[in-house]
Amino acid sequence: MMMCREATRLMSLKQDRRLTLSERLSLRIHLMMCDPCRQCHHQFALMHQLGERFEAALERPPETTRGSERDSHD
Amino acid sequence: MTALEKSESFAGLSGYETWVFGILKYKILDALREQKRRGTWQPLETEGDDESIDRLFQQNGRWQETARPASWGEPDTLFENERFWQVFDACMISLPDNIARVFSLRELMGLSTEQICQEVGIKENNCWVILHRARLRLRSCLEKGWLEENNS
Repeated sequence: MMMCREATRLMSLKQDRRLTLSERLSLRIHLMMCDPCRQCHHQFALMHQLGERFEAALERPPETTRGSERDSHD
Repeated sequence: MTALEKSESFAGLSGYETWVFGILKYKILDALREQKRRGTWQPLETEGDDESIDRLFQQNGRWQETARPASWGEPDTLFENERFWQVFDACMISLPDNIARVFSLRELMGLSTEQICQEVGIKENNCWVILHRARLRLRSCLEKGWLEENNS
C-alpha cells in the first residue's frame, strides 16, 4: 500500500513526465482515500501554473505586442 | 537570484522584467555548468539534506499532523494577491541555491527536465528528486506564510 510520502513523489513526477499506467493507478487510488494528499496534488499543479503564466508572459510581453491590424474588425 | 528578490517581478511583468528573466535563465544555467565543471555541484550529496523532508512525514510515510496540507483557497484569489507573491519570493530565497535554481529552470522558465539535464549534465533522475524536494519544501513554506498571513 502506497503511503503519502511516496504519493507526493508521484505527484511531483507527474509535473515532469507522463506517469506509467501503474503509477497513475496507485496515485489515483491513494488520492481517493487521502484528503491531505489531494490538497498537495492540487498545490503542486498550482505551482506548475506559476511557470505557465510566467512562460506566457515571457513570450508575449503585455501591451507591447498588440498589433493594430486586427483592430479594424471591431 | 537577485532578480527574484524583487517581489514585484512576478505580478505584471513589464518589458524590462521579461528581459531580466531572459538573462537570468542564462545566468542560472551558467552557474550550474560552472559548478559542474569544477566538480562542486552537490545538490544531492547530502542525504542529510532530506531532513527538512523527513520532518514532514511520520516513520510510516504518512503526513505529520503538523505538516498536513490544507486548502489555499481559490487559485485566482491566490495569484492576484500581491502578498502571496511576496511569500513566494521569501520561500524561494529560503531554498538551498541549487534546488531553487533547478526549480526556477523547470517551473518558472519552463525547461523540461530533459533539457535541464542536458544543459547541466546531471541525470534526469536527479532532477526529479531535486524537484520533488523543491516542491515539498515550497508548498510547506507557502502554506505557512500564506495561511498565517490570512488568519492574522
